[in-house]
Amino acid sequence: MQEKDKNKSKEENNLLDDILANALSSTKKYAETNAGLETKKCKSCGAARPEDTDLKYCDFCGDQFY
Amino acid sequence: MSFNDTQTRWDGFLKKIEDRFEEILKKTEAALPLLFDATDFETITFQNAWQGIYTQANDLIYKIEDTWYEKVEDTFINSGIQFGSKQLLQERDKGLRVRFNLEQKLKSYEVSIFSDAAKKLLNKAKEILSKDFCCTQCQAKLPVRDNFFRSYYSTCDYCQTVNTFEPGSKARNVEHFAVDAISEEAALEHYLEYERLKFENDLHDKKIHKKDQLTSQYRKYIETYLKKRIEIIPDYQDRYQKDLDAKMFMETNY
Repeated sequence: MQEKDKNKSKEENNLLDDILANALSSTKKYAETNAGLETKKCKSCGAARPEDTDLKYCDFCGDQFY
Repeated sequence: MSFNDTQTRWDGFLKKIEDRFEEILKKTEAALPLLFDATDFETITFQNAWQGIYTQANDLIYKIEDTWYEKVEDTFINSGIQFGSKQLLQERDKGLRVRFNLEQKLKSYEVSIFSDAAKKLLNKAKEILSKDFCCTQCQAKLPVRDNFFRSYYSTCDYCQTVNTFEPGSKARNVEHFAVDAISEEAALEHYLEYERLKFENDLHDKKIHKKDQLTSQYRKYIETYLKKRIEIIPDYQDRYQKDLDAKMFMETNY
């Protein structure tokens, strides 16, 4: 009886280990991004986008931002 | 087999299911936080692992009803009690009560395990967002919100440049993972009570608890959930009524 309980407990431990190992090995890992700041700059004149301007055209040279 | 023998075996079976369930979930409660720490708060692995454990625990719960209909009910009838008799229904209800209690426990374990991980993640995200972030053009310090976990524009007060702030994966996961888990924890007692009322109606096959009572209980759950979400991300205040109406509509119309 004791032997049976021991085996069952072992089985449950294995089951949990298997589930955790499976989750670790089968989950696709995505690259982590860090917190930070970036500024869009005009490719033509290098000016950064000032406040209250649209994203389409550069406020300084009028060139397309994207 | 006599009625008493059958009853003893049935009780023993239910006890075994309960013990096994507790054993699996207790070990899970200890192991999953370690996995979360070891993967540096990686939420997808954590959720996949929980899904595996949840399926095992759920299979165990549904063994009760399956076993009753496959074997136990006939064994009781063969022991001399009549189909549909009070005695037989009492034995069936005993199993249904154990099943319901385990379902409640599974939900409680799930909420507790997820909210513990969520709190760790939220603290980590706040720690990240409390660091200094400077304008990319003039290096002046830019104010960063510690209760908003998406990307947003931030204008530098000195040079007026528009900076795009990216909070990073950990902070973004607060929105995808932590907010729901912490809000579920805050509202758990109302959810469990709502499920209890529904279970009692099902068990007695009549509406002991009226529809209004059920709706009012569900509303408590949703209100508590949404208010907790606003505590973590105040921007959700603007859509509180809309979210409440939508969730109530889903529950009362489907």
